[in-house]
Amino acid sequence: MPFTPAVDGLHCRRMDAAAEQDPESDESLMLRYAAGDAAAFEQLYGRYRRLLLGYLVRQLRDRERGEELYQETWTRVIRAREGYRQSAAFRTWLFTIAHNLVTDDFRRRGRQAEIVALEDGAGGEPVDEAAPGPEQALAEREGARELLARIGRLPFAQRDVILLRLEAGLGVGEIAAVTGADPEAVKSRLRYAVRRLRAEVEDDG
Amino acid sequence: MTADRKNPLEQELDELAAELGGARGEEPSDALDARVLAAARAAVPESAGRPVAEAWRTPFAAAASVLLCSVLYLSLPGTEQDFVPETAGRQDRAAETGSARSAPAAPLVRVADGEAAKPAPPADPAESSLPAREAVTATAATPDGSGRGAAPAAPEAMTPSESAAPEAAGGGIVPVSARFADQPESGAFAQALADLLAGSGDDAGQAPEAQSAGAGATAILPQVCVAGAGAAQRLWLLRDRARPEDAGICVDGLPEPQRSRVQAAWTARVADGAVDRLLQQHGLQDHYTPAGPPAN
Repeated sequence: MPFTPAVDGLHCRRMDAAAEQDPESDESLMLRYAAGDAAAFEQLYGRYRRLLLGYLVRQLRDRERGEELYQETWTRVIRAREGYRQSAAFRTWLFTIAHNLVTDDFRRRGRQAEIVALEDGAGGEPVDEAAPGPEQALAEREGARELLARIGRLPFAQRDVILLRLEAGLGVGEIAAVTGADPEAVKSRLRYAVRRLRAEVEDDG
Repeated sequence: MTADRKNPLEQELDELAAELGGARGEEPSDALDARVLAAARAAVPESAGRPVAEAWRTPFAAAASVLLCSVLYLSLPGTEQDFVPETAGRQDRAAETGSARSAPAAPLVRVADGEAAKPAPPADPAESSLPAREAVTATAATPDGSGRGAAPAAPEAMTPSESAAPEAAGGGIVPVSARFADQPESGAFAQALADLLAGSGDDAGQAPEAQSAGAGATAILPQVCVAGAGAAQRLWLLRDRARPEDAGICVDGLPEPQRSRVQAAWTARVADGAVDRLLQQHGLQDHYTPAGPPAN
């Protein structure tokens, strides 16, 4: 579906495609933006808009709330531009902000217990999601939708790392940096997450 | 890479990523894109060429351009036809490069055409030299809410309902910096307003590792708003003295609990006179007054 820019002169969808061919690094673009080049931000934004919103919406399991934190994440990037240092990879920085906002959101909403119980990556009980109703189950039958539904039922910490891996495309080291966890703990959470996802498929089968 | 492929975990993750395929990511709405990009643009100083362009819009510069062009015209040995194409060509080149010097070219053409010499209204209201009130109207009336590319509309020609269409793309809203683009301190006012709203507890300027989750950072997007659908959800900050019923500056789309925090901070800063001082510092005390929400 073609993108109709809501802001004159900005063509995000085209930027999505252009970004793949654009050799300029995220960090360089961010530094240019910090120096006052708004066009550099547009390029950066085009690279991460889908991925960031995907992470937030699926981690929060709430589109509206995801959009709120999406805007908040970018707002923080904008406001913190002058303090940005190239020593930090931009995407790690971006997703760290998003991750912190998500964690904060869960805490504010009284889901602390869920987070704490799963911080060790040892699995734990599934989240308190109600079982999907017949209509929802019907809609989630196939392929990616089914996988996303299964990811949505993972515990917070496992869902976090698997989304950072699958949605944001981060590696283990980057996920560790984003979440503040030890790389081995990240691997452990990923293993548990994969195991649980596969187990659900087998159970369904 | 080879080692990664031999890693069972990585293999499994790759398989899951393939399974996810095209479902990866979520498409932000146009309105969401617009809000973020407008905030990004509002946060940085205008382009380097802008002061030059704005300088040409001052009455003195306009008069100077008239005088200069008149002298040039009278002193040129050629005809009017000799003069116009050169000027027009200069305009075209400036337009291609986005040069701010395209602004002064307009009066040159007009003088050559024998019309009254005054700067032509730029196509982009963000660069408009319209008086403040008209600028609000013009920017707010655009269908996409961006305020760009629209001809200025007379205030009386726009009803609140026309200006609303908010959920199309944050309709009726334009970044404060764009609203004040005809004033040299536009960016400074937008930033000062944001800083005032954010308060001293804002941690947004720190490195992410220093940003403790849940600290007082707040999304601050001061915008020029007009009343209409969705207006009740906005946090109105300043009332337009000329249009107190339906225009002012607000913060839109601010979630709780930030909304309550900002409201409290704003009330406190109004009470201690900081808001009045801010308006005076930017010469806007005659345009705006601290206010609650305009009547819908």
